[in-house]
Amino acid sequence: MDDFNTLTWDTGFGYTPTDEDVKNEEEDSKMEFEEEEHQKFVSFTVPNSDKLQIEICDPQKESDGSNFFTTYLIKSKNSLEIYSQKENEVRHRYTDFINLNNALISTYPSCIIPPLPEKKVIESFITGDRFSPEFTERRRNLLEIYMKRIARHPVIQNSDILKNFLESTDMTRAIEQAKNDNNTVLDGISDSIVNSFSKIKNTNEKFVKAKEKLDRLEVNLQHVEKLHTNIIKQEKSIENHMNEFALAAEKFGETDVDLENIVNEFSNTLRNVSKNIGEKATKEENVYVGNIKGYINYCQSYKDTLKARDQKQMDFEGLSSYLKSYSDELKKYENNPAHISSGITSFVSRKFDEMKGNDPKLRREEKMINLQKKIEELKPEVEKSEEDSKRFDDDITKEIEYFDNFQIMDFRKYLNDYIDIQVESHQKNKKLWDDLIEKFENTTV
Amino acid sequence: MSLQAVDSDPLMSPDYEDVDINNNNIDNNINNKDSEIENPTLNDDTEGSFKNIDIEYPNKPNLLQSAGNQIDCSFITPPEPNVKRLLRSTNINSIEEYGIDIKSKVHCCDLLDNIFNHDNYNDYFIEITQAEKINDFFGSSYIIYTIQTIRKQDHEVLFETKRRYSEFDMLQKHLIARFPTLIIPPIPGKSNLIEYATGSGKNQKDTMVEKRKRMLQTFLNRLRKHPVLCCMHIIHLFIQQGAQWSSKQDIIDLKEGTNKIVSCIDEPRLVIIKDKLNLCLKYITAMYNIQSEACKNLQDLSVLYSNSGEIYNCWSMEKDPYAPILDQFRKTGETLYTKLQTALQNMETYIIDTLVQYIKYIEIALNVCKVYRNKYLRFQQISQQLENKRNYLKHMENENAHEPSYEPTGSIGIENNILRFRSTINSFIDNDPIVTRQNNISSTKDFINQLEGDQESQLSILAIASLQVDTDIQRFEKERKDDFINIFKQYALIHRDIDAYQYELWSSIKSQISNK
Repeated sequence: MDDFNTLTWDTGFGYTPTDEDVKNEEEDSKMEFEEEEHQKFVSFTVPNSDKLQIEICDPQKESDGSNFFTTYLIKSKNSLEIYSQKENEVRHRYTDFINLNNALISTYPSCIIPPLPEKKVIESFITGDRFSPEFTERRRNLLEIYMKRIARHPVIQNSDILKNFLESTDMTRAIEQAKNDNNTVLDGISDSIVNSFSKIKNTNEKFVKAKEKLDRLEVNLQHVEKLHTNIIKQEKSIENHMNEFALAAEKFGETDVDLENIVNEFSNTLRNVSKNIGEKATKEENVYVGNIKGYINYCQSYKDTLKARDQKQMDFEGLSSYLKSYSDELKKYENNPAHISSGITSFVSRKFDEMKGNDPKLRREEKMINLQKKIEELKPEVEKSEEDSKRFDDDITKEIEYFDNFQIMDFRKYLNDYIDIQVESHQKNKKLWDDLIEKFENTTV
Repeated sequence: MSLQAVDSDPLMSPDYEDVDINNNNIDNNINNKDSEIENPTLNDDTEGSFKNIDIEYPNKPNLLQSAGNQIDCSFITPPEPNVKRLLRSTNINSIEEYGIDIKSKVHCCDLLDNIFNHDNYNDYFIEITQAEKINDFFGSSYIIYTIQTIRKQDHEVLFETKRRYSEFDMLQKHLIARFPTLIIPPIPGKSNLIEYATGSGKNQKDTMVEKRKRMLQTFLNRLRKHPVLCCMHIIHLFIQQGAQWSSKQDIIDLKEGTNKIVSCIDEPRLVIIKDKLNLCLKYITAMYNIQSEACKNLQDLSVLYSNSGEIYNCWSMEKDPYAPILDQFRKTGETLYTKLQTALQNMETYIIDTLVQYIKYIEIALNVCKVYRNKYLRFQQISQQLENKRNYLKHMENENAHEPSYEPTGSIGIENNILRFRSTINSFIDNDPIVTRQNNISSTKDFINQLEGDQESQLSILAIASLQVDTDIQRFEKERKDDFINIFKQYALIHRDIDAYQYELWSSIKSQISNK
C-alpha cells in the first residue's frame, strides 16, 4: 500500500541554486500562490548536476572509404568515480549518437531521455547539403544541448554506456545493449499481459496531475513558438523595407545638392538599424525559438515515459486481477462442495460430463488441484510485477522532480537570454537614432 | 520643326532688360474694381500697349460684381507684370521676384495683411479644428470643415468659418487657372477609392476624414507661405465668415492652343527642370509605397505583441517560479501594442501624408512646365511663321513679275503650297500679273505686321511665364527641401521613440530580475 499522499511537490524553493537561481527567492514571494493543498517545502536538489560537463566542437568531414560523414569532437570533464580519467576527448559521428540514445533508452526505461535532433532535417534538403556550415553548426549546437542534458541527469551520468561513449569511438557495446533489451520504452513491458485493460484501475492523482501539467506546458510552448515565429517574420520584413526606404531616400537626396549630405547620413543610419533588426531576428530564431522547439520535443519524451509507467501499473493490475479470479474460483469450490456453478458453459460441461459418465466429485477435486497449482505459479509473478511497478513509480517520481527543476533552470535561462537580446538590440538602435537626430539638429534649416 | 532664328530669340539671351514690354503701364489696374474685362483677345487693336489685358483669361466669364459677401473673381485681376531681371536669391519672399509689382497688391485690411505677410508666418496659424457631418434639406450629407485663423501667442481666434471640400477644390482650381505658371499647393484627392479600400480597420471613414482635414489644413498654410498667392484677396475672403462662392462656377480650364506639332526643341532649362521633377516623383512614389508596406508590417507586429500578452499570461498561470518573468513579458506585450499604435499614427500624419501631398505637388509642378512649354511652342510657331513670311516677301520683291514664286525653305510646307497653288491658279486666270503681285506683296506685308504683333505679345507672355516658373520652381525646391528634411527627421524621431521605449522596458525588467 503505497501512500503517495506523503510525497509533496517542490514548488521551487530549496533546490540547489545555480548562479542565477538565487534571484528567485524574492521573486516568488511577489507572486500570489493559491495554496490548494497543504504543501510541505521539502527541499529537493538536483544532485550532482554539474559533475559531468560536456562540450561539442570542431566538426570535420571524414570518410570511411565509401561514405562521407561529419564527425564532432566531444570533450568532457568529470568528477565521477566510475571514470578512470578526469578529462576525455573523442570523435563521434551522428549515427553513434543514435546508438547511444537507443542504448540509454533501453537501459533506463524509467528515465526521461532527452530527444536527439532528428536525422533528417528538412531544411538540409531544401537549402543545401548536410555538409553546409549552417547545418553543421545547428546540429552541433543541438547535439551539445542533448549531451548537456544527459550529463546533468544524476542517474544517467553514471551510465557505463555513456562512459564508453565518452572514452572511445567503439560503439559495439552500446549497439548490443540496444538490441538485447527492448528498443523502446513501450516495448519493454513484460508480455504476460493476457487481459486487455485499457485503463488503469487505481489512477494515481500525482501522476495524473503531472501529465496534465505537462500537457499544459506543451500547449503553452507551442503557442509561444508560433507567436515568435510570426514576430520574427514581421521583423525581417521591416528590415527589408527599411533598406529599400534608405535606397529610395538616397536617390532622392541626389537630386538636390543641399540635401545630399544629410540624406546620406539618414540612409546610412537606416541601413545600420535594419542590419541590427535582422541580427536580432536571427538570434531570436536560433536562440529562443530553437530552444522552445527543442523543449517541445523534450516534453514528448517525458510523455512517453509517463505512458510507460502507466503501462507497468496496468501490467501489475492485470496480473493481480487474473490471480484474484483464480483464487476466487478456488474459494467457491472450497466453500460449496456441491457447488454448481451457474452459467451456460458450466451447465453444458456438466451435462457433457454426465453423459460421459464422469464423476462430478472427482472432477471437482481435480479442478481444485489445478487451480491451486496455477495460483502457486502466478503468485510470485504478481509479486514481482508489483515490485517492478513500485520501483518504476519511485523512479518516475524522481524523474518528474528532475524534469521540473531542469525546466525551471532552463526557462529562466531562455527568458533571460531573450531579454538580453532585446536590450542589446534596442540599445544599439537607440544610439544610432540619437546620433542621426543630432545631425539633423545641426543642419540648420 | 527647327528653330531657325536662334539669335533673335530673346529668351536665349540672359538679359531680360532688353525686352521692354511694359513701358508705361505700371499703375494700370488700381481702377480694376470698376472696369469689367470683356473678352480680351491676344490681338489687341491698341498697338503694343497691354493695359488691362487679362492675358490668362482669354475667355473670361462675366462674373458678378462684389457685393461684399460674395467672392468676386474680378476683384483680383492680376497685377500688371513687370519684367525684371531675375535675382538669384535664396529666399523667395517677395512678390516682386515674380515680376509682379507690389503696388498692385490689393490691400484688404491691416490684420489680413499681417497674417499673410511672409515675415509674420510663424506668428499665425490656420487650423482646421473640426469636421462635422451636415445633412442638408435635400437629403444629401457632406462634411463641413471649421477653419480658424489663430494668432499663436495668445491663441486668439481671429477668423472662423466653415467650408466644405468642394469649396476648397474650387479655390485651388481657380488659383491654378489664374496662375498657370505658378506651382499651386495640392489638396487631397476627390475620391480616395484606393485609400478607402486599403484603410486600416477600425473607423475607416473617420481616418479618411481626419486625413483630409490635415491635408486641407496644410494646403491653407502653404498658401500663406507663397509670396504671390498670399496676396490673393480670394484667399483672404476664403477664411472669413460670410464670403460665399456666388454660384457653382465652371472651373476655368485654361486650354492653351496646343497645335498638333508636338516636336520642338525644348528650352534646355525646362528640360533640366522637368527631368529633375520626374526623378523626384519617381523616388517619392517609391518611398510612399515602401513606407505604406512598412506601416502594415508594424501594424501586424503590434497585434502580435498584444497576442503575446495573452499567451504569456496563460503560461504564467502555471505558477512556475519563473512566472514573474512571464508576467513581465505579458506587460511588455500589452504596452508595446499601444506604443506601436501611436507610432503608426504619427507615421501616417508626418510621413505618409506629406509624401502623398508631394506626389500631387510635383504633378502640379509638371503641369506648370507643360503650360510653359505650350507658350514656348506658340512663340516658336509664330516666330517660324514670321520668318517664312519675311522670306517669301523678300523673294517676291526680288522676283521677276512673271516668275512664279517658289517655295521658301521652311517646313510649314502646307501654307507655302497653298500660296504656290494660289499663285499658279492666279497665273492661269490672271489678267494683270503685276497688280496681283502687288496685291500679294501688300497682303503679305500686312500679315507680317500682324505676326510681328503676335510675336511681341507672345514674347511678353513668355517672358512673364518664364520668370514666374523659374522663381516658383526655386521656391518650390526650397520648400520641398525643408519639408523632406522634416520628414526624415520625423522618421528618425518616431523610430528612436520606439527603440528607446523598448530599451527602457527590457532593461528595467532585466535589472528587476538581477536585483532579486
